[in-house]
Amino acid sequence: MNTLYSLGELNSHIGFVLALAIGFFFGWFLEKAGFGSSRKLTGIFYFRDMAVLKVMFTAVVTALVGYRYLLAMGWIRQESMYMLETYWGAQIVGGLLFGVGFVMGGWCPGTAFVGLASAKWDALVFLVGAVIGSILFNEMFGLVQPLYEGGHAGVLFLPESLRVSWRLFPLLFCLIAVGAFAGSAWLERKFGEAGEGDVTPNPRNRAAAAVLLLAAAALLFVPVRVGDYEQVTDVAPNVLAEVAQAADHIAPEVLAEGLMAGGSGLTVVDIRAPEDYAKFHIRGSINIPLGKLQASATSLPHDRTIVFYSNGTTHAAQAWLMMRQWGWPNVLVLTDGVLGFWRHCLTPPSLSGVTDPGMARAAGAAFRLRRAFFIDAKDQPLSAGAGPEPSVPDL
Amino acid sequence: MSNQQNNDLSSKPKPYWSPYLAGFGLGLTLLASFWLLGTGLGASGGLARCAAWCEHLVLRGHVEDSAYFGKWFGDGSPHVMKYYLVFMGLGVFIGGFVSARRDRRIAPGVERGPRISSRARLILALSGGVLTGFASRLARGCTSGQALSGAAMLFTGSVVFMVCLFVGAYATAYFVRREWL
Repeated sequence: MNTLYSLGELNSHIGFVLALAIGFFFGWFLEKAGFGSSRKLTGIFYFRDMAVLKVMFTAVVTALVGYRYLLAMGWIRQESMYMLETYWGAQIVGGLLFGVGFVMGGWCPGTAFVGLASAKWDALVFLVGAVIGSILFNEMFGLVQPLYEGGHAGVLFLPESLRVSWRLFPLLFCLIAVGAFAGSAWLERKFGEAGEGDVTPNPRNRAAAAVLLLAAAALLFVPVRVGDYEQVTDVAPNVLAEVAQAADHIAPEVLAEGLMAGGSGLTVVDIRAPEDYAKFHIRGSINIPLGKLQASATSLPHDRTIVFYSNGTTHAAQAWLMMRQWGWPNVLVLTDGVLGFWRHCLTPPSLSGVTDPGMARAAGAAFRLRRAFFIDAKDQPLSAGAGPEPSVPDL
Repeated sequence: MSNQQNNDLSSKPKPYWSPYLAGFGLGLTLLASFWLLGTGLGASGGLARCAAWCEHLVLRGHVEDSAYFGKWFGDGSPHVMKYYLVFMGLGVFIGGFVSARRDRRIAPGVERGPRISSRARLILALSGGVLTGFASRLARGCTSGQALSGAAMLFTGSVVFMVCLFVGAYATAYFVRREWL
């Protein structure tokens, strides 16, 4: 099934209705867990009430194991999912600051909605603060941008970062979770007071833990599908060889030269959502959102070189793989995507360190030519200084 | 729910669910979001849209030219609040309200420990909110979008965010203990 994200329809009427319904259950379960109470939420930081750890870890392992099964059964395709990229600097600093704010404020954004629904005025004040914090981020964006984009590492998966097998990883994760649950019960007995936490040993919890571990252990025998980045068994060897030789990529400068020379023999496909395409696209490209590629692929020519781009390269690489497997001979991925294209081709060249004035002039002239071709000639105006914006949902 | 049943009991709030049961329900909700939307849950993204909308009401031109919020106000962009996470946030509020009402947990007031004044608690809530709102933009998500949803899909950066969140919170907990204990 195609997800709304892959169809570029997250922000349509159906998307709003589904988000509202999913949000309802999200809020419902948070409230049932007691997360409409800031004292219960912060209990974890004093080892008195470990509900936050239990609820979060249970939700993560449920979704983690469930997701792997949905992938294995083909109900979800990894390429129709929105991928969160890793930005080391932003996520480390952001995480630390968030933690400080969480224990000070007593809420996080989601639980504060539930707190407000329970008429906790501290939740309202917290939410006002979070709105102010967001505005502050916008106002300070020039200052924090290097950190915001710092340590960009693309899409990284934990099993690969830790070099653990994809099949084994869910089981390891669940074992750690069950260990943490047992540790939590011990901490609550030691630090908590009567009535805090959930200290009664419950045979049903043990049975549930056993079911979880069995389900995760069964994943050891489930093959990891194409797109799961481990076993790409049904890809022809020549395709893998192309990837290995990086013959599957085209550099932004090369694409720019090709298009400015008339673009003959090139078909450039923007696979982002239509609204991102509407904001900015590379001149001459056509828009086919990734989720619609299968339906639209037949309209793409076999005798031209097809260049795919998204914001980065992950989704374009998925399009590349699909097209190669469906038999298109000449398919390329734009290196670093549209953001890289903007950075390399359409931002003024840095001339620091260039001592030869002739070279500096040539670089400046090339930049002005490209800018005239790709930006100034376009009928869609771009506000001064604004770059193409990522098609990433802001979570 | 029948009213007779309510009258038989006192007006005491119902006990919370087992955290494992609530967590399981939350996990299934997250799975449904993956399956239907192709992305996980999120809360701070909707708040950021509200922030941009509020600032835009006051400083129209400034926001439209700003580097971060500005992209939501370009020509041809839908209204800034027409964003799926705004609706999800509304859903969270409604779901929380229905559950709290049915379980008689709506208790107006400022929640705080016995050793802190309401005023001090509200100042800390505001400061914590500012930090959290800022940090969610920086990290591209909060406990819902990064920690919960990202960890379930095993993204390295999301798990790093979650670990750092707990490091930051435990390092601060001692200094604000009077707020809670």
